Amino acid sequence: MFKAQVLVAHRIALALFFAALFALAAVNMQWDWIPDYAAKILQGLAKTIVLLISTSIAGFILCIPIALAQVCGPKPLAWLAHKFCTIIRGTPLLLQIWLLYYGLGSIFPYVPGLREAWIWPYLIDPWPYAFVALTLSFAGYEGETMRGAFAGVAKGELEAGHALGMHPFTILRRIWLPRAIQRVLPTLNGELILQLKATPLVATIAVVDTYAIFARIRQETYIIYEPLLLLALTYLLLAGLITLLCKYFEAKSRARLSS
Amino acid sequence: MNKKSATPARADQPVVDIRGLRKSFAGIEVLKGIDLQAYAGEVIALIGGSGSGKSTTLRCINLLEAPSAGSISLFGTPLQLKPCSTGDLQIADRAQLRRIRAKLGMVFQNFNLWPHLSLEQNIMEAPMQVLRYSKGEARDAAHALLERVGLYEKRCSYPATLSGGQQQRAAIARSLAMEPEVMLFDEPTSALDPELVAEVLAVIQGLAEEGRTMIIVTHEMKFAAQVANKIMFLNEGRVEEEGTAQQIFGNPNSERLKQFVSSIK
Repeated sequence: MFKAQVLVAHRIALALFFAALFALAAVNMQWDWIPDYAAKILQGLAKTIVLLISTSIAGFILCIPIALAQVCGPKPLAWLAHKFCTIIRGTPLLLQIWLLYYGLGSIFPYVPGLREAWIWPYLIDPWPYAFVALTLSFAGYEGETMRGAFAGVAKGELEAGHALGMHPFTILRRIWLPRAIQRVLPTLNGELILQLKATPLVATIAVVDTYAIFARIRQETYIIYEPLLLLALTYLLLAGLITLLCKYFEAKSRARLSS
Repeated sequence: MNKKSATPARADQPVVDIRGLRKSFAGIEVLKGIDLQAYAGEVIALIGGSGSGKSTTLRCINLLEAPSAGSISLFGTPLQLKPCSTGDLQIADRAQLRRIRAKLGMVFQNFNLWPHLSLEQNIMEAPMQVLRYSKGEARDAAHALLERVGLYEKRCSYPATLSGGQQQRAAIARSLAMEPEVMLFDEPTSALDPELVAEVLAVIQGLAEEGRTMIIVTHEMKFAAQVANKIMFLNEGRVEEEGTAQQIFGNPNSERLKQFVSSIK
């Protein structure tokens, strides 16, 4: 196995350059607000991460029937699934979030009895709308990706399952789906990062995520540049974590698929 | 293992009984009424030029291909078929089809092993999911079968790391794990490098010597002559001639078979 060498000239130079940049920023810029807001920042970070993970998982689960409907479903279902993907992918996420929050949010109060129902406190909270909008968005993009992945699994592999007397659902669960996921792993990395970068949009409907915290810091301290820098660094680190995780799974599956 | 289900068919009754099998693809008839009977313990070789319909015939037996007309009886039970919107026949009772498929081992030209599973897992999958074997039972059976096809050392390898011959032997082991009553081979050596053909044929020959019922589509004429009790020569969707190897290769009747036999010598 080839292992990249860490200590080579250009890497050392780069590291020194960034260390110097970091030192300059630490000395010359204003960071004294960080301790005051540390707890809030961590809370916002937790919200961003929870939102990312929950909507990615829910969106991925939702994308499976959407993709399957397009690959082997009856015509009306295939049409519906295709249109869903087209609309989700063809409109800005910001608009989808607002349509859900302001649109549905303004209809619900007129539904008789809803105001007294147990679900009402959740319906006036922006959280569920953020969750649903991000989930639908991820499902729309992944539905299209998974459609291609399902269609790309060799027909013979599925035939082998049928010939052994396996139930179609067993074939889906044990062969078709794992094989399709193997195929989307490389693209999944990019799409998870896009999903991460879509999360700040929920700040527009008053969900207090990482971005919203930093916006508040800027308003309250009149410090403009430093919070933005730290915010950028935060998202960069999260994106790096996602990439590491995906690379790990990719390497694992590639080891199986190559001779 | 004593999970062998199903009552054995009576000796005087074919385990595979196909009558008047027809199949059209997009209006072109590739099978024009095939009759095929296989009795327990028989080895039948289907031979013929490409496009003669031998693979399609085999794939219709376990309904991987939907026939357009005809009747299929397996183990004494007729498959319940009904016409579907495309004009082909489709199975009326899917559970019946799955039960029957579980007793028909199928070996494909392209092996069709599952790349995301190790050899051992490939073989354990169907017994666990279909026959409800425990993991331990399935693994013991898989190890015994891998031993038998000479791949025990490779049990934890993934298919992509194996040669075509090894993959095909593993695929045969996967079919055998279901303890099938009939084995169907669809050109099992056609996708192999010439030097790998022998190892796969040796495994199939071993199965024939055990007295298994097998239907083999093949281009290996010498092999067909060696293992088959009956050879069926297909031409343009019809059974042109059938008989023992002696009759087919030594004393062909029809013009087409004479040509075919002389062309492969």
